[in-house]
Amino acid sequence: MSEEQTLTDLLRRLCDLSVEHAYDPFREFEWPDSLPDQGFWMSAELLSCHGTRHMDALTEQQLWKLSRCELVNFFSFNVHGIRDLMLRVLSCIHNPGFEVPSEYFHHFLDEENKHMWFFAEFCNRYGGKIYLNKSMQFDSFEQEDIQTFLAFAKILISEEISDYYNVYMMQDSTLPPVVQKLNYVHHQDEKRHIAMGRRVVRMLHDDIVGKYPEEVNRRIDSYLRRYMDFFVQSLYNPSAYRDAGLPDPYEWRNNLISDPAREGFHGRVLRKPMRFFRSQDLLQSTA
Amino acid sequence: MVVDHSQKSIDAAAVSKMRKWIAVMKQNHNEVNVDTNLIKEGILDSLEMVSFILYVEELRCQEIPEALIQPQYFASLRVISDTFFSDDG
Repeated sequence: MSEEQTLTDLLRRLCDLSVEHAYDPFREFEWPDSLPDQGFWMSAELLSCHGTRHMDALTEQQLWKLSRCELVNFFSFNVHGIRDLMLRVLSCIHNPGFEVPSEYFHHFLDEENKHMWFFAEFCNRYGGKIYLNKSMQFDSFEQEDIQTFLAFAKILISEEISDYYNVYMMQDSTLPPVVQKLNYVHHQDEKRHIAMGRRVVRMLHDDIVGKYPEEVNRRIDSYLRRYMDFFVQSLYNPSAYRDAGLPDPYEWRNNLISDPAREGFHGRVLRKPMRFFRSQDLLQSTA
Repeated sequence: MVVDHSQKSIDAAAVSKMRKWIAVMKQNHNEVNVDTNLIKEGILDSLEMVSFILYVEELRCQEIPEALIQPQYFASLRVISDTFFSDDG
């Protein structure tokens, strides 16, 4: 069976699954009037200070408050990321080169729109805000095919990392039920998106492999690695630290990001995307 | 409205710190001057710019409003100084 037929079959299955598991987000969730101030909203093990002496220095109340802000930050980051990825997919759908995945892209866009809504709804209802997007959109590569490859690679990386958090929180019964459910529902859809994303990224990489000088390939490699680090570092948000009442939020961020105790967590969060990109020769084996 | 940044005096301390931050970030890159276009000349890419924005916030001890997170306000160290470190910023 040809690679294209395999891809076609996969996309057909994903479309069928999307239809079978379609839901109305406006009716799917029960939104309590408020969430408890006592207890965690984000699993303690996912907090950006977990495992460090900085966490040990916080009281239980401070940790609960931090977990509220960090969950809103995580969902906010998803809101902004979804916007960017929807814009990218919209620019590709039914355009040359994307004939095969376009039908599934409709399901993808539908589901991502739902995700954007329910994450934003949570942030606004219980956090009173969506944290700001500090990124600017400008291309780091002139070549359009590289830009497209990197855009979908970044989408895949984002989904893989977010999924780590989703899987963890959906199984944490100490969290508010609505938090568990949001993470669960997102994970169910993202399984399919990741499956699609891996094939599309491979397809787009095939278009650029061998086409450019080694120096360009090294820059692409560097950009992907830095994007993975960037995503992880975005979860250390000084605005969230400020809202949690922590002093010197920027110093807090700098200290946490560079704390050796955080390296293990970063490695776990990045393991799946790194493994995929290396196994497909999308990243060099050594940094 | 086009702002003439050339007539304003820069915040030398802030510019010096930002210049040093960029030099460290780019490792072997030569120091930029106040009018080097950080984006058009590829000094900072989109990922590095996010870290840089956070650094500027740290220097200001104040969050930057979303409306000002635009390429034109981060075009050069002079523009950043005028926008975020002047008495009007």
